[in-house]
Amino acid sequence: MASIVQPGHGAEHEHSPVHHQFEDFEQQTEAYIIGMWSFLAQEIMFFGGLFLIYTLYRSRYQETWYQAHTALNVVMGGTNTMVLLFSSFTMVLAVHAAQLKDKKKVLMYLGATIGCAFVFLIIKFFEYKEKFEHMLVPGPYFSVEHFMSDPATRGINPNAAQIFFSLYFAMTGLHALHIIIGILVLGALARHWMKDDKLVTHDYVPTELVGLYWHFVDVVWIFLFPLFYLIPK
Amino acid sequence: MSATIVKPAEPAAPKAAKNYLNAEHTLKSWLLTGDHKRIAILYLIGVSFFFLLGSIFAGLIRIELTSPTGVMLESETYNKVFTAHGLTMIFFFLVPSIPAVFGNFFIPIMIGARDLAFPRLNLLSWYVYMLGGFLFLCALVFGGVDTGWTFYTPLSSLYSNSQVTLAILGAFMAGMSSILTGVNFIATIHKMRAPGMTWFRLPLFVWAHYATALIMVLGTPVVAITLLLVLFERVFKIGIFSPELGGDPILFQHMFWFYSHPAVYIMILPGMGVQSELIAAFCRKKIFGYQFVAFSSLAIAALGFVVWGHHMFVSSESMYQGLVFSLISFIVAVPSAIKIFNWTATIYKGRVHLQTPMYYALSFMGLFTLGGLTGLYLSCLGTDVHLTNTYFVVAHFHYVMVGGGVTMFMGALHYWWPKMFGRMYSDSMGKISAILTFVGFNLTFFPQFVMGWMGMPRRYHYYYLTPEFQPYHIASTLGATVLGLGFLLPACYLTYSLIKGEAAPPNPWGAHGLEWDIPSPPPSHNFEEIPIVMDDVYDYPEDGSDDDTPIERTEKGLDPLPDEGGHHR
Amino acid sequence: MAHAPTQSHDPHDYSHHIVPVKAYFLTFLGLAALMFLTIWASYQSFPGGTTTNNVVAMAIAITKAALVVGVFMNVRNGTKLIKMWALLGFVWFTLFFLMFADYKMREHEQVASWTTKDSGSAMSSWWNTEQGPQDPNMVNVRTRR
Repeated sequence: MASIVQPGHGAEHEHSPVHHQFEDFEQQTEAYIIGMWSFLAQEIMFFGGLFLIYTLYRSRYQETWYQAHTALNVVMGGTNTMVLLFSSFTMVLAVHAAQLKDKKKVLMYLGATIGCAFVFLIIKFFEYKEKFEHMLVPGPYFSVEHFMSDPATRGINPNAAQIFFSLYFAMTGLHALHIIIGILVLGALARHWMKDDKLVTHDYVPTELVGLYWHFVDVVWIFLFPLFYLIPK
Repeated sequence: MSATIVKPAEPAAPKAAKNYLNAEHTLKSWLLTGDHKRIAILYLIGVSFFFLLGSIFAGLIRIELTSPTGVMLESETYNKVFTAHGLTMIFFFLVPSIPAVFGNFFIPIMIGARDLAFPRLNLLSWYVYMLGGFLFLCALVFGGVDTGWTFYTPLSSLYSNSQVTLAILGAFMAGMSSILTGVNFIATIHKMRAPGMTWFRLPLFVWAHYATALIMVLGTPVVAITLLLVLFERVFKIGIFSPELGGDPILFQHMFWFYSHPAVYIMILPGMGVQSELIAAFCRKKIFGYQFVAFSSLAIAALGFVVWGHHMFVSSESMYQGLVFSLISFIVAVPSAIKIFNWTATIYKGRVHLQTPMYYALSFMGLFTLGGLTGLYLSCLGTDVHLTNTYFVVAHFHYVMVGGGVTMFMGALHYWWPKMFGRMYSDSMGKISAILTFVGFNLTFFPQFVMGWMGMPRRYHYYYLTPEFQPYHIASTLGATVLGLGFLLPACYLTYSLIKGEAAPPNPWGAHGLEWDIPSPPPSHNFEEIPIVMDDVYDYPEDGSDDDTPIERTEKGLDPLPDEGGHHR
Repeated sequence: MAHAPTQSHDPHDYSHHIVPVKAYFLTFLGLAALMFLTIWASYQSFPGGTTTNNVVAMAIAITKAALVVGVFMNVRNGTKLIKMWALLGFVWFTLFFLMFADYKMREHEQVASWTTKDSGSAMSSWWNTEQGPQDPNMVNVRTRR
């Protein structure tokens, strides 16, 4: 941020956590939080579009949805859910530590959050690998062979199943992309803390904003998990 | 409240005074600026470029249509040209135009702030916009897109061989840019108003931009995900809209229009905000029914989200659904009509000053009304079956988007030019351009209403089976030439004014507003001291005592109004 | 135990309301419990069939989301403005469901040229019913590009 040329204003603000366009800290904090929430509102509409498409197709192809979802591993999905919930917990502890200006704890909790994120991605990798092995990736090589062994799923509609897996990959894929972005942002935040950058040490709000993003990613998964992995008979 | 008057006889100090333009001269200071005013100028350059590009495509379309069998383009190229025209004008000109240029420049000043809430995010918005523009230009250079700007599936997702992927990425980036601008405006308008600047003391320009920001933030992500899914279908073969798999191509249309209808309100609401400013200033009168106009902006934004189905009346949408959308489409016309009534009531018994911006404002009144009324024909299920996908639709949306949106862009440009650049332009040239634009525009698009009513379909390259439409097309092309001239002239005299124009006083129009209290061009930090707002908005005196602009006072031989000592507004 | 929100004593610290760690921990436990609950509930058959299952699953998910938004994202201690913006995205999302009216109402249209099997949209076209394509030529069709 030092490279951005701000219109000249008093040097007295150099060490203050309040940026030049704000009058006081409260105004700045609330502005940042509203800014972040309006950004999250658009993320809700972004993922929301996918949820809507999912709901429409599920209501149309209910049986196929049930049959197709048996290919998903509830244990892996459930583990991922726990991992993400735990990472939300460590994230909020990091924010808490930032409020108390406890650098060591912040770094510890940020590290834990990043660690959880990696665990999530690794489990996801194995899940995707399984799908590849069972030829369940949409495209020219898609096949419902995997479902032929079980009499309950033998009658699956192959085209609707392909739509199911299209949505599965689109939604969990986009979610995983947001996790990757989250790891990068968390990493950048941790780096600022490691270098004792005043941006984060004087003001807990940047840490809080990253936290808001991370919790949002968790909320998306909270809905993805039951919708894909826990479809009732 | 009297403006800070500077005697025009003495060229004001502005040329030498430090302002945001001459604060630093390096390229780096422009490309890494956090100053909302500089970013606005960067956007102005960008949108002007895309307007020129889009106009060239429009010119090509009009040339092609002068003959029933085309003139010089292959049909596939013609498809690419009208697609390029739509994409350029919508995503790269109209959506950013007023908000990114005038919103960025004036919202902080109008609310009494030093900058937007997030200056670096503002700069990022511009870079993302330019990246999107670059990707889109790549799409054009590598062969163009032939799907229409609406990207209907399965043509766009499966069958088209054109640069759909690149074009989608470009549009996606442009959308991202507008989302970030929206986030910035929302935080700014909520949290950065000066002491005493209550919501109901805000200029209507700010209300309009708040409503626009709401739409940008809540609507744009939907088209983002929709286009992304089309991209996935092309690249990864993930077929969500694919009919062979039991997918529904109409679902694409639902998702696409869920954004694209509110998008048209993104394109008009800022223009309506400008209109409020122009009418108030040039009639020296507070806008009639200020609160109604303010809330109508919010109503348009909210209602605009639930009318998207009127674009799908004939694409196998359930007719019961169509009934609902038809009804709500009629209802959404009401807040717009309220604004027109209130502006008319403001002009009535106002003290009208006919200068260039007012010409554009009056032009808007007529053109937008006609555009809006013809929209009702399209909202009506029965008539829409006849009129849909004809030139009637084309004429309707050009009346509101060009007659409304672009006219207001020009009006804003002419109104705020002296403030932004500290130079006056020739008012008579301005008036001539406004008239040329008005005449050219009507000549271009009114025949299209007639043609559409008679059945000429849109997006058709050849019409040799119905050559009776040719005279209308020729009239339309003639009009387009005049219209082009009307847009070209300002490019010339405004640029000329930057070099040879007279220095502008802080308030050349005699208008009321925080932006007119500061020098032209403004200093980098906007205000010496943050103003404490005690007066109401648009508080023009009833007796017309400060009616005349400084220039008019000089012409009449009157003394300049005494300066009441500073920033008390 | 009522732990009063701690005030930092640093004169340059402006965080007025620090939520105690215990609240976060309890919330985490609640979220984990709800997760197991939702897994359990998905395997039960409730009266009312799968609709009840879906309602229960969504209710649990919404509760979990509310906990994350309210406690972890600290919205419950936020200003009214922040609460409004936190809610607005979720509320706006519900507008999408207007699309359902189209899909549900298509089945009820009496149009002469449409059969009862085919209500006009690709979603219920004659060769692709719930049981799978009736036309063997349409199995696993993918456009060759």
